[in-house]
Amino acid sequence: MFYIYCPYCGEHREEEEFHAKGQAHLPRPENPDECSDEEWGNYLYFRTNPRGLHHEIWVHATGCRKFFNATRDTQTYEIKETYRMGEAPRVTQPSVTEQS
Amino acid sequence: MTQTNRLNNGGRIDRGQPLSFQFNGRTYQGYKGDTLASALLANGVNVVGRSFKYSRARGIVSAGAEEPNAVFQLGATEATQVPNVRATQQELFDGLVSQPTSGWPSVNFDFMGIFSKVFGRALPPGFYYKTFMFPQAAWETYEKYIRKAAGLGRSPREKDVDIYDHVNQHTDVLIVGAGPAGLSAALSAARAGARVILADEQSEMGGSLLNGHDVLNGQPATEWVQSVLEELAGYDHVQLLPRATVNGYHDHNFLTIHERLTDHLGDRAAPYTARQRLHRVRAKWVIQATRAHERPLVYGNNEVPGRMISSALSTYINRLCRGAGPSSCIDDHQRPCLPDCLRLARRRA
Repeated sequence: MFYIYCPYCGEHREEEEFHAKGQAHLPRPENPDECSDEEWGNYLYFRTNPRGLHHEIWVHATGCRKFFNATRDTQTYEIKETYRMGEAPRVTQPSVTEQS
Repeated sequence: MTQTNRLNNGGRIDRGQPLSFQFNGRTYQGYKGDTLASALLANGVNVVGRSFKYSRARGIVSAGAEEPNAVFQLGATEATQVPNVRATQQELFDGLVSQPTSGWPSVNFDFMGIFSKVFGRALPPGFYYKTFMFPQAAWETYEKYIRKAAGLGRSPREKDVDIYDHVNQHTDVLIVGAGPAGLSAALSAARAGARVILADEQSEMGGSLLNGHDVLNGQPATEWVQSVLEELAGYDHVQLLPRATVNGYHDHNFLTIHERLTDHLGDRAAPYTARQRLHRVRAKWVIQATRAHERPLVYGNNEVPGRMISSALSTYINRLCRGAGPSSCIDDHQRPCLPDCLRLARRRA
């Protein structure tokens, strides 16, 4: 059971209050009409499944009901940071100790 | 029944409060402070179960959660049946009714045990009762006999009459185990003003200090335990949970604690009282001050009733006052228990 910091509420809350909503930072193609079927299919359906750092969207479903981003290590389940929609993640590299 | 193997003095049992209980249809006497296992040992009950497959006789080998043999069915009524309780963890109460879960027709006269003695060579290692699953149609015939030979306890056929509770908690420090390490940690954290939950699976806090004759700061260790517990109980921000097993350590310091509130008082809880409680705890820090289990030595016939691990012997002699029977055999390899053996010899003399 995760203990997640909601960047809008400013508090740690139990995982029960949240829902995971999948991979974050997926840019929608500028002009969908000009996409090939493959490009559009990739955008719609294909997601990374990394071992290690993963940026993902969560929603504080039974709290403020706002969407936000989290950087989570899929191996250790550690949540490195949570940040608001539209912001860039600060943690993009595994820390030095984890690389070794 | 007289308690033939009981020491006359010392220990942490209350000889002023005799309790009667049943095991395998017979009534025995024990004292308040006994576990079911120590009371059985005091009454000279050696065989408490039967092994799988060969149905060899099994006795009590340990004094704690690691007990593999003394696994009983508890409950005086159908609605209060509890399967697979370890006798080493069950405190004695007046009117406790227990049954062995293995052995048929009884643990003392076991059909399979006799069968194995005669036909044991026909059951080579690697032979499993699963062999009987084919042909499929025959399984229904075999099943009830095989279940009898292989199964442990049974579930109750009536609805549970008791209430069970759960609670969500937050704390600064959760300490697992109230032995010397856990108590010291709790004391430091509590004095620093941190919120503390101290959970210990036994009825009394103190862990290994309760078993021995250790001396701390020039006074008996049990007195140190007492003074620490009194100080901890005085803090509002400290929660002491005896009879509470920490049974899960999940992500982000989320732990679950199974607290047995009334299992030591009677067959069922008093009306409107919860029998057991599940604590769901989110802790900032967790200290695991659990002990290590002693492993038995491996040698031929090391599971014959009457043999036990040395730490268990120490507990039974010093804490629960069981004198050894004439056939006591002690595995002394990981923890020198010679002083305890000498004490035992002295008390018997």
